[in-house]
Amino acid sequence: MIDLIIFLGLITTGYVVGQTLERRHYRAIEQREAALLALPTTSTKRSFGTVPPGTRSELVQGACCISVDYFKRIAASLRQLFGGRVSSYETLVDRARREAILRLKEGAGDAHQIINLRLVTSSITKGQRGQVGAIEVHAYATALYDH
Amino acid sequence: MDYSPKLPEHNVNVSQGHPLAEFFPLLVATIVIFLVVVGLAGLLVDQAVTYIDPELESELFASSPAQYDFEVEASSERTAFLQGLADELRVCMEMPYPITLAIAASPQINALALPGGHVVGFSGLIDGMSWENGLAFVLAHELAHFKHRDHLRGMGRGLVLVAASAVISGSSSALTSMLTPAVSLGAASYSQSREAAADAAALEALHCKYGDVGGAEELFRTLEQVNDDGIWSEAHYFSSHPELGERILALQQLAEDRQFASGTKAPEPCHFCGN
Amino acid sequence: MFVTTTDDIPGRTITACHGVASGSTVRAKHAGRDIMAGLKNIVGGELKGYTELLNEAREEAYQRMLDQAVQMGANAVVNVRFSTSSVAAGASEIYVYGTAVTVEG
Repeated sequence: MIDLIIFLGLITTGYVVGQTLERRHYRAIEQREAALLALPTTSTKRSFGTVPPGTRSELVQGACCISVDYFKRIAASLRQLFGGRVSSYETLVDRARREAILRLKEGAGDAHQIINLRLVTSSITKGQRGQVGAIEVHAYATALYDH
Repeated sequence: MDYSPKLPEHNVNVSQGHPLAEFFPLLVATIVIFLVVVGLAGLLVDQAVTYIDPELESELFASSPAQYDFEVEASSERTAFLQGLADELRVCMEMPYPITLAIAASPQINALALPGGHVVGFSGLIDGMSWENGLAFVLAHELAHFKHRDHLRGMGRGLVLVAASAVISGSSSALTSMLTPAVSLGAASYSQSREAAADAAALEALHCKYGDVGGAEELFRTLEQVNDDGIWSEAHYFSSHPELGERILALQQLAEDRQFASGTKAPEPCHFCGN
Repeated sequence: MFVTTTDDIPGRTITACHGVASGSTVRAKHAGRDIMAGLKNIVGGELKGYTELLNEAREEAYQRMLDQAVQMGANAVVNVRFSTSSVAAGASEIYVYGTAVTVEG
């Protein structure tokens, strides 16, 4: 009985707080994405326009690690019994990825373009039974500066 | 090449449905499937135990006494008296196979039926009784569990539960804690029905041996006093045994229905009991 | 819709770039498949169920990337890269991304 009460408490807290934080994070992501929209970004090796001699290029990177909440963990483990799309983890990777790219752009300073963007994902497991604790996304690219 | 950036209108990388709308159907489906599987496996166990006759059982569990986790009292007049009492009841209950009696040196008020034809009475129980009839009822109750193969059912069901929760907890141990209450509710109601059947069989044995069912409730009255003394008892619905008051009423009702005499004879005193 | 793993589309000109488009999905296989895969692990060989699962997942992620590229006003995606990671024990995640562009010719 005590187990069940603790469980229900955790899952309710996880759901309410987790959803609130997620909504807040998405709002922030959307605002910052709009603000940084003008910075040309590509995953190709080609740069935009003609690049004058003396242009400085530099490796820039951004990383973000997002944790799963208790509700999502339970929802995912239910989903794993039946198979199919694990929608509770989708927002997790989406948020981590967009946040990592935003951090990369914000860290690029007065770069006039970002080329050859690459992303890698890794899951930081809690160890016990391979359950996910968090996922980490690392974004890296080359930033071009005028001087 | 010019740069003409545009943000996507909506996020294609996350599902649009509400998280709870996905969660609850999955949760309900999991619980239902789990209960159906455990229930069906329980029925299979019930079928299987009818194929294990007492002889096969005593062969399978020949080494069982060595595994007691309590101290067994050395043979004495007391154990001989208890064995004799059990053998007489056995005849009444039409159980042609031998049952071995043992007394555990423990203050607990309890008795057990163990696989392999072993009944264990705790010394706390024997010391707490005043009349032979009361003790005979408790022994007959345990013998009835043997006759009904309840001890094997209990073991089989236990194994099924362990296996089923291992499958579930393979994905998450938290899921198990969510399913356990539902299962223990079912297990408790099953166990309560088995206890009630054993009570009824024991009452008949008492009638057969003494021609009077007086004193059958002695243990329950003793336990009731213990409980009244402030020992917290767990919620009735989760308990493996029916409530004491209900058990007494059920016994009285049964005695009335079957027109068993009660209290017409003085109960036999018990020389080996505590009081 | 042109989709390539190269920076350019041979024979055509890229006239505009719209940024990075991406698609991702997380998929889990059901418990029954997990058990069959466990048995298959004894003798080795291809896990057909898993291959199928990952193919479906890749298809979905790919489609999501194309949808996003269309929303960004592109008619091609160049330099497409796929990556797979295991998010949890029984679930895997497919991520695909590329540069959304407009081509002419």
